[in-house]
Amino acid sequence: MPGEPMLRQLLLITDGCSNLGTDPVYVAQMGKGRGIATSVIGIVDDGALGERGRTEARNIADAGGGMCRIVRATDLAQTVQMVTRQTMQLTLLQVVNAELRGIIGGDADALPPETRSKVAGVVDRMSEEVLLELGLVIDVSASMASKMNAVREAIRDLEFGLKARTGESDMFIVTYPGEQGETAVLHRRIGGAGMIADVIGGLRPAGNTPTGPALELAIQTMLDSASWPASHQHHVV
Amino acid sequence: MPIGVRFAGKWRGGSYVALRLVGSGANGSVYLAERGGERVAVKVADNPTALSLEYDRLLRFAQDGGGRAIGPRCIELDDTVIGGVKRFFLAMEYIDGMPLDAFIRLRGPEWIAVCLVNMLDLLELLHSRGYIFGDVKPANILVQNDAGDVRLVDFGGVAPVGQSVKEFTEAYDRAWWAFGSRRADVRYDLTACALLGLQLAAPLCKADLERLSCLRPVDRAAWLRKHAARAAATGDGPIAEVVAVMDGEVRDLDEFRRRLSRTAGQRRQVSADGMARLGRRGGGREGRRRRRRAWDRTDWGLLAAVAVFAATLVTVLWFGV
Ligand SMILES: Nc1ncnc2c1ncn2[C@@H]1O[C@H](COP(=O)(O)OP(=O)(O)OP(=O)(O)O)[C@@H](O)[C@H]1O
Repeated sequence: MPGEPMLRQLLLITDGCSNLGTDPVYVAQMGKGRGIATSVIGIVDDGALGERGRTEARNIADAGGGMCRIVRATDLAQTVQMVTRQTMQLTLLQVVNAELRGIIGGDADALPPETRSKVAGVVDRMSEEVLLELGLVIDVSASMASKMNAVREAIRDLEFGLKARTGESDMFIVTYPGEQGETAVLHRRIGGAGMIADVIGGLRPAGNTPTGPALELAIQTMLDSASWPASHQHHVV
Repeated sequence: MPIGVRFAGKWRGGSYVALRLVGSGANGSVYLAERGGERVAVKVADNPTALSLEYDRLLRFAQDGGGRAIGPRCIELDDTVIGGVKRFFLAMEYIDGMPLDAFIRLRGPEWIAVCLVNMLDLLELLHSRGYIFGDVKPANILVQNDAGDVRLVDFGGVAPVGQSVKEFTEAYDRAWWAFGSRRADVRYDLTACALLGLQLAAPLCKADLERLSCLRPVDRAAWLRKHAARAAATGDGPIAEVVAVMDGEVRDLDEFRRRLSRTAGQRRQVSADGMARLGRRGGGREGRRRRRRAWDRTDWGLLAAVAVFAATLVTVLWFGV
């Protein structure tokens, strides 16, 4: 983290199990190694997720150093906010804990309540002010069709939340699979107009579930944007 | 946490017995518990960060400078081991009250304005210190007595003006309904109170909310205005005042309170001299309750006058003529 402290995290939203390309658990682990936390929200509406999907979701989040929530589509907006916020706290707390271990030989949970509450206050303020780069990785395979409106509005809601923060933030979206047979497509907001959520409105759900390759694209995008935020206005497909 | 379990804080040594589960939410479960013969509320959580933060807010804001209670008095933050699992808990005063929506269902919509006014008083105390409450919702507003006095619980959403609101409930969230941003300012709480007032008078059902969650915020707002118009035509409650907030015509707590007080005053007047009307409607439980509430000072005065008159009459008849 050079200069200003910055958090990088990915949020995967899916209702199924990956069935194409690299293992997403492996990709998430790789991302974690490069300082990118991956959290997962699994949607259960028509039971498409199944036991296998649940397990995969949990494994991706574990490997990615993030958190995992399984919810219904109608609870998506609230969950997206909560997961984003708590993942930030988690990552920040890990940084703080690493420091604390060096000083007191234990982490914040081992502190007396008063001190712990001060640490929590610091973590909360940091999560409000820190620079945040967020990549949403969204499954738009056929089974997601009925949930796309809920997803679009959950993303819009997240944008409201991020805009209200004092710290700067940037957000991009990777959807998978692409409409023309690509495994994944990157969307960025062009200029300052409109909301990125609206790209979801124009998508036609289709095809396979290449979760791993989609996560790879998201991680690559983050690693490439090292000079952010100076150049966060290009549009890549 | 099983009911009846006894646990002691590791750092402070406070000893508790869990009596009853009061409710649970995203951040943990709240129990009624006993501590040294006193009834207290204990919030138990696995995630210490959110709980520690709430403790800090409660410690600073549950009481205003003059000792007026806005929320539950903060007792202590500690951790313990229950059934082999480490648990973090926050102990506070137990507030013996009824969630606002239950109170309104029981007592009728004419109490919405009264309770909102009482609530605005509390919010103003918070605002004067540069913080807002944030997570306005019926479960976080407990009505303590028949006069409609309220206390706020769940200080986890209390946020300094200028930062983002991090805990909110969609149905009462200004941004969700396209009435503004999610940045903490006094009008965030104001709008939440208005949305609360409307939904107390004309509740949205779960299906409405689920359908709305798939619409764009501006379309939600359009729907809500229609909902308000329907409610104004058929229902009771401070709909006009709420709409004035949604329209940006009322811009601060003070003005909202003034308008609500006017309505609350009128309503009370109506219910006082509308005894006969209410009596006619009565018969059911609802009617009985309404009639009892209508016995305010004026009525007791009237009764006393009648009694005095009767006594005088008897006296005159007995000793007189
Ligand atoms: N001090 C208290 N006295 C009495 N009841 C309380 C007290 N604190 C909280 N409650 C009740 O317990 C329930 C859950 O409390 P609270 O809202 O603090 O939990 P939460 O996990 O933050 O929930 P949510 O995520 O829904 O906000 C609520 O219904 C509230 O009315």
